[in-house]
Amino acid sequence: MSFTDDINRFTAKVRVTSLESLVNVASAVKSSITDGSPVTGSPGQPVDTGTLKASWILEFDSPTSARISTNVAYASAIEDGIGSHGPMTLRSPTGGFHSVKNTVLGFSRLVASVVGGTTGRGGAP
Amino acid sequence: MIDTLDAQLAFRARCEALVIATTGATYLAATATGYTRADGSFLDDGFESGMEIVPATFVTNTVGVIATVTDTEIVTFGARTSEAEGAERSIVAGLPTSRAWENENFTGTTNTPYVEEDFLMQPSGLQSFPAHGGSLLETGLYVLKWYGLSGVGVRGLRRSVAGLLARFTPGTVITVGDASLRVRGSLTESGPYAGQMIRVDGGWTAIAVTIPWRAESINAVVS
Repeated sequence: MSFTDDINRFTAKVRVTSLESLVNVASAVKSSITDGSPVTGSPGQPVDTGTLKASWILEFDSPTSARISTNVAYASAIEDGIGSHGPMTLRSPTGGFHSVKNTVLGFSRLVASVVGGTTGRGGAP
Repeated sequence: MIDTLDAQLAFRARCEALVIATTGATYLAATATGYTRADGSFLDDGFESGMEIVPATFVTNTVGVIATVTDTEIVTFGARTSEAEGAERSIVAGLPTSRAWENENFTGTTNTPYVEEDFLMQPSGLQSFPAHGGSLLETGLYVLKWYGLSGVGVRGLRRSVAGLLARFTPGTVITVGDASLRVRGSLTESGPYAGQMIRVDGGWTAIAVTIPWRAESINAVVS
């Protein structure tokens, strides 16, 4: 065993841990948007036919970036709770509005809670 | 913990104090279709189509909505009562007078802008020891949805929303009882922003303004 071997092993470990962290964080972000999260306070997507909730997809553009998106035209209106005849009434027993906003603003907490588990060093509650 | 009712009312009060455009006290006349002026400029004062205006010191001070505007004339939706030019009159555009405050019954009126609010709390967390007496961090969002008129262009709604955002810039402090609430926004956390212009049924086009905030207070553990 040489110092070079040690460095190579450490580098490989960092690479694997980084990928694992990206996958876990991205999955947690998607879950916060679709199902809600006690970490971010996001309520998740409201459900009627299930079309909007099922439309959110997670894609990995590169080893260091991920994208969560939906192609549903009314997603913005649901996110902001913008109704056509006054305040929008939530008729779904689950979910709510502002899930993306809450997820974005709670992102650092989400990362801390997920990465702590990835590294085994106990993340934020 | 902060008083969430006081916090929500404090946000409302700050929105209600918004002035987007004003003539100031000046010589103004009312016509059958709107308002005119001999000096100054309505455009320079910041008025745009779609803005709701509140006249003052006229004999009749009915709130109206601008259909078209030039330097010297505002044409409103709906008729006005003619009045000869008089002094110390003003026209002000600010937060729409129709307001769908949270948990209040509300139905929008055709050709009348309105706003709607959402006040959200996010999970809180202790920042220091001990639990009792430690620093508690609370965060949340104040979302104000501005429903402007459809078909009048972007200028009125964009200028209105910009004026609202200017009252909630990152670092703005809002006093809530004995505590202070601060508008968030830095290189590492999102600040206030206006969403996409969304056209909806009923003749409105809406923009949601999101204001993230944080508050620190002394945590109290109740036995």
